[in-house]
Amino acid sequence: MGRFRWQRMSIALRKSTIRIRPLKYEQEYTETPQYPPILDTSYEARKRRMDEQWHEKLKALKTVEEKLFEINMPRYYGWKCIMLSEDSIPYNSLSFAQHVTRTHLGEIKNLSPYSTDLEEESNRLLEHVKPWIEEALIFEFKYRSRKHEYLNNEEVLVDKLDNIIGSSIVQQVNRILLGNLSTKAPHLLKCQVDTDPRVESFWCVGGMNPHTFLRRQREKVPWLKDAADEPINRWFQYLGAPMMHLRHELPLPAVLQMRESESPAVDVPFFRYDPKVIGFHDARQLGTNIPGFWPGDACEFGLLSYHHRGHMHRRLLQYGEEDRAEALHAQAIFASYGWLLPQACYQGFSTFNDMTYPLVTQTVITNGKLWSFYVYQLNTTLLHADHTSKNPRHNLCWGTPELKLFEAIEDGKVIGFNDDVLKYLLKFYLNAPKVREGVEMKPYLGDMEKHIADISEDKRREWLEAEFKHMYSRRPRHILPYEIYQWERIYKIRHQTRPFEARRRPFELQNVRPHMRRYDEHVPRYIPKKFRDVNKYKQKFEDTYYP
Amino acid sequence: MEASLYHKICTRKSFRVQLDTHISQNSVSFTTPAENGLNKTTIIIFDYFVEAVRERRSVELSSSRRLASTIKSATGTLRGTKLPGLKHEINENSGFDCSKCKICLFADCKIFHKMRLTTVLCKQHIGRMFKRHWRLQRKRVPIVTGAESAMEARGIPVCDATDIIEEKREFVPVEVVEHLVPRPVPRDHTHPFYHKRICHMYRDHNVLLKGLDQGKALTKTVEVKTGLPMEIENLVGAQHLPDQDMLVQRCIMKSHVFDAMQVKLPKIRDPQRPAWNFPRVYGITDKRRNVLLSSKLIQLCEFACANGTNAVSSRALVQDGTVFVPLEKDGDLIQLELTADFLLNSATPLPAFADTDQVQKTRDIPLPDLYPIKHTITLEKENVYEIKHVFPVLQGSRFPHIHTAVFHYNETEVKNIYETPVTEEQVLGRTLLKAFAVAAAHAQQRFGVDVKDLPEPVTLQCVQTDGRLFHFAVLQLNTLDLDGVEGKKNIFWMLPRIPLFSSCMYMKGKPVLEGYNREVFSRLLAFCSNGLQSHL
Repeated sequence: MGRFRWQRMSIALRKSTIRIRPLKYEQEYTETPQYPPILDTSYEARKRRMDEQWHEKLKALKTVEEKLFEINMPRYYGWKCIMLSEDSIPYNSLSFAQHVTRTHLGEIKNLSPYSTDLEEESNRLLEHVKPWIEEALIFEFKYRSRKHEYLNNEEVLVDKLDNIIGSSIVQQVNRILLGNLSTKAPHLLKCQVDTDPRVESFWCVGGMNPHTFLRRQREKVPWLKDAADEPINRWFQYLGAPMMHLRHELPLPAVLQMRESESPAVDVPFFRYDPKVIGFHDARQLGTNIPGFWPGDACEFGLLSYHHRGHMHRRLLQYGEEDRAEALHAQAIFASYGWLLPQACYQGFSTFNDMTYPLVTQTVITNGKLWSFYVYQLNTTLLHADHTSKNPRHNLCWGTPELKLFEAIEDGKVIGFNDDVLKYLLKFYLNAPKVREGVEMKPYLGDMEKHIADISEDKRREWLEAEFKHMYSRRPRHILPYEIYQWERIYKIRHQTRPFEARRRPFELQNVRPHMRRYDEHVPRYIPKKFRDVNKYKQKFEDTYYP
Repeated sequence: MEASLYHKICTRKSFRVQLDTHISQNSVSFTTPAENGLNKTTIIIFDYFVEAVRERRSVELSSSRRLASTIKSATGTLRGTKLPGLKHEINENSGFDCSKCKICLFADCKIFHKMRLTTVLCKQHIGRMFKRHWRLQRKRVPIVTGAESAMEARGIPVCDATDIIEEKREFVPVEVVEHLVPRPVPRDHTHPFYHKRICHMYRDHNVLLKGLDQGKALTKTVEVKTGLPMEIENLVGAQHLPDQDMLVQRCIMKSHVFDAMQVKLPKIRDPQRPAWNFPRVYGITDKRRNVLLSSKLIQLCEFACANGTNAVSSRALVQDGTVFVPLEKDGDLIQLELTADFLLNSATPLPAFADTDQVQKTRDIPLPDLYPIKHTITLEKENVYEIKHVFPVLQGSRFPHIHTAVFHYNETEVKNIYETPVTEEQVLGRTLLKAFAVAAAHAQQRFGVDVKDLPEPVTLQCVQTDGRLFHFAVLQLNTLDLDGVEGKKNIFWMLPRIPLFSSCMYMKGKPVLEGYNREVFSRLLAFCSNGLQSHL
């Protein structure tokens, strides 16, 4: 068995041994002719049908892990994706962030539950909590000596310091709010608090301009020449780094109905350029969707996440104030979408199978002194192909500008404490998750098998569990991916100085594309003879259970 | 047809011969470079070569075998001739049965017998071009124009142009004082923190050789009874959280199984097969597992205590608190540099668990005898150190008093210096020393750095955990005068290590938690609720 498709032997066709009894006349013919549907046989239409077939397969898979697995199946070495990280946001990237997450950005100020019910409640609790928060701030800013001051002699960079102090203030604020509010808001008792969780998400966005290389390739192909500038799908991999998040068994109630996001007033800027133009880079990797925990954890829905803002120190001053504000918005949009999408994936949805109900999360970006608050509602995950222009639904984000919690701490007192900031925080904690009445939460998952752990077949369950964790560990493949070496690019591609050399490298051959290798194109694990099953002594290779 | 080409033959093994070829109808005459083209030997060569050269393409032979077969077919006509400048006479065998290698036809060709360059390096070999260039350019012969003699004939002096044009420069040596990347300061007698007196260091990764006994001798501590003080035992089970067991089990599962961290774990080694490479395991590190578990359990404790009074508001939680305590004992300088992974600080001090009578009675309890071992054994002896008094909470704060400390035992970090596995005794000793360090640092901050006999005792509850086993202990610090074995002593209460569960992992693809023990959390809760009792 060949390792690559191009090495496989052609299979000789054999005559079928199945005997089919001929149909009777009445069975074979009908009164009115029944024609099969007429299919568009153009290249684009065939391609679209193949894609749709794949999306339907994804939908039909029973467990969460298999769905996540299947997205990576077409590529052994992973997808080429644009890497988005939380702590480096290039200049002028808000419109890009909005386009690739299909997010409408609004103000949180007059948002209904936050300005009505929660406002009253937070007003009531404000005076009760405020002194303790002030105490915590004084303690953290004035009376703490930290590890980095003693253990390494090197100077800690400003952004790192910002993150260190930010996380320790958030820790104090969080425990004060949880401790004080747990009697008033009992949902907090059952929430899970995770520090430094691993949040990653992976999705596909259409409507992007093809990059130069692809356009040139298309121009060479006769039947693709006219479609050289057709928009393409791009994959995006977000690597988040929240300092803390809170999860619960139940989802937060939707802020707005899903339908309301379809109104024409909700608009999203269109960003069709190659993301490299604003400073993002691409890399090849297997896509991962992780909301901080593995499938199977009971607390599946996010309540609140805290994020660092140390990277703001690295931004150049000449970018201006407007860009600083936009960078925070972009960070919040990516952070919220990047957390909600994997949560949705754990409910059985994916970037190709749209949501049937909205999910909501709350995001806080802070360094202890400056705070920004965002509420995000995920209405759709369908962004690929022409859905960027045709999908009526939008995701919604409401935010605040950055707010100062206090002016300074002098003589053991907090000066200029801003009640509004604390009120926002209180509202976020008081916003209670609720059971979604009459909504099927996991429509695309199996009835009995929702996770790999539910699979009854021992061998298949163990195999899938091990392979899923192997895929998600992002370790390098056993055989490193093919690359064009620099000397080859100079002496073989740019200047053809070696015309007599045998052409053996993939770029010199026809129809050999190592990066198109499928995930399951490999020799299965060999079973040494002494380990073989007595009844299946001829079975040389172990079974695989790829979805 | 005749053609003269500069013709080369290359093989993949860097076998190269440069020949000046001369072609007639069916024969090619080669001129070896050594003979400057004077002695021509005509070699009748088979059609393959002729065709190749006629088409003006270089002959490329991609493997030695192919070349050998080529030569073999040519030897019929080559037999008996002798090429000038060649050591071998060509006959039927010499072409490919050379003593050095199979492919050597011409003895003066360059074959790399020994070096096996990597394929990539051999791909673009410019050594030959470089050598040729060097050979051509090595001697520059100035062209005699006759200008000099003409000038001299006219009586015009001739001098070297460089004497007039060239600028006279003097190079001043510059001394590089600071390197771009500052070099690490050598840890020897030139180091700014070098002291002649040796300091015995105890850090997070150390364990004491004799474990608990050595810890007792070192910190002048005794156990007055087995188990924890009655005050704490009475608190066990007093508080309760709704769905307590379910919530605790959830915390355990999250930190041991469901956390999505995947980093390289330490290499697996089998002492029986030391060269065997196991597949590298990716997963949750012991450090992260412990941090997650402790923070979650403390959170649950605070929820449970929040019913009566405000356990949260009257305390501060300090994570990763650094503690530096320098001490003198029997003429030795000892510094404890430790970390309290979680430290609960309260506004009011914990009450002393042993009254003054009991403290006085400790004078009669003997310290463990370590003879012939000295109490400072396995502490790291260092000359480069800085004597520091550090406590993670500065003086003057609203939460100055230590209450409960949680220490983590990370298997990958804590090691014996003699590479033997860490024993149970040593783990217990580590709890004592860490608790002592935190209490002593607090006492030095509170009563002054030179305090010996404490005006009032300092009490600390502490827990050491490796994620599964929990070691509960209480320390009452009465004195910091560690000299000798007489006098007042500190008091230590402890329980043996209790498991939180028996196993928690993926078993056959299913997340499993087995043998959950509810005692651990209720004991932790008793620690946390201690001190709040008076407000109830």
